[in-house]
Amino acid sequence: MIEVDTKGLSCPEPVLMVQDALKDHPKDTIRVESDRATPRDNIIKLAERSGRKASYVEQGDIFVITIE
Amino acid sequence: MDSKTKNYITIGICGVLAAAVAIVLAMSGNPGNMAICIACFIRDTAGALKLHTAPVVQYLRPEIVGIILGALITAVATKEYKASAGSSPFTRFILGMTVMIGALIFLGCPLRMVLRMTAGDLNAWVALVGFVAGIATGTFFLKKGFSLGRAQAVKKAEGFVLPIVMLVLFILSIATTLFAASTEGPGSMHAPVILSIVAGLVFGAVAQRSRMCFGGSIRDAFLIHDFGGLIVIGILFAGVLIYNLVSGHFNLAFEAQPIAHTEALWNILGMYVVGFGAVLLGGCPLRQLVLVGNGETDSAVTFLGFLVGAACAHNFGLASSAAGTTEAGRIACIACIVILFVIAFVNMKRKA
Repeated sequence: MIEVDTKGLSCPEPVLMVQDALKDHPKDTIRVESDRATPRDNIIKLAERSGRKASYVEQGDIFVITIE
Repeated sequence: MDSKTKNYITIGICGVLAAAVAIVLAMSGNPGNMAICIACFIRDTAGALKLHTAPVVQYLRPEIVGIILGALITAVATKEYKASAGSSPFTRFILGMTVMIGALIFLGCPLRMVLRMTAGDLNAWVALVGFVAGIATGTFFLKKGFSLGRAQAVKKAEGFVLPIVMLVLFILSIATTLFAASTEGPGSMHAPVILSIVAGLVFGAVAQRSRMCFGGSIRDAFLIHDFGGLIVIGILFAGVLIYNLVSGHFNLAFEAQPIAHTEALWNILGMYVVGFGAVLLGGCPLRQLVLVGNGETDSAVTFLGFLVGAACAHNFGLASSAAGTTEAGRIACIACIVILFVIAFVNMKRKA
């Protein structure tokens, strides 16, 4: 499992970090932590555009996005 | 209905509402091609607060208050409000100042640039070249790892401070004569207060829901080939363009445009500063106001930078006018570009 922590970063850094992770790990499950709705939505859109499946759950104050 | 369709419908409604707000404000007395301009209205607000004393640009613009509060109410209602702070706040203050000075050399923020484009102001089309080039430069540094670091969660109350301050200032502006208000020039031209505040609230809500960002939409097209952000701006552009064509406000020319000058180089460089600075900040001036509503106090500091930048622009004669740029303004514009490159270089290493 690849983990990417995007908490507290301004747009578009979260998306860029996930973009790198998608490129480097095309087959692995990626777990992304985000604390804002905008990057959460953009990360899910990016993953779907890259042909991956993405979903999220809310854990306390953060969103945990799983990309498969 | 799947979430994608829902998202497109939301963005469509937001675009139409944004255009409607701009048209109503244009019809109701706001200055020419300045239905709603974040930079100009913060500049007028700085004047009302007597941070500068240029007599023609002093008025506490209810639209600015409305956008921040509209975004805040929407963020709280949709549970997107989260107070945070600490991502290089002082660097953001300086970036706010530079962006404002760049905008006042061009005479408008990206939102007003788009509104000027819809009215046929060719100077704004020229400035778009600079804006896009600035975004491309900022995007280059992002790809190289530019980051202002992480913000941390802070107490909920911290995020409410600037919105409450703005609300109090607004109440004082209508209940007292404490603040300066222009009797001539652009500052004296404004829609009725009640209309301005409601329009601001709607615009803030719409911008919060649609994530409207003039810098971010072009940046994401470059960076991740995501053209989604351009849709809401496209609808706003089309709506106001139709209004201008139908109402006879469309005048395709360089000369004789309201509150604009024809110095192409400085229109380009002014908006280059705005585009570059907006990418380093993570969003255009409008987006910064919305982020204040979302609870991001780093954007509240950026807002203070805008205010101080606007004050400097008028106190030191940097701001352009219909007569053109000033020598001090041209020097400041170059200085701003240098400052942006320095900030971009020294923050290149993204820390894990």
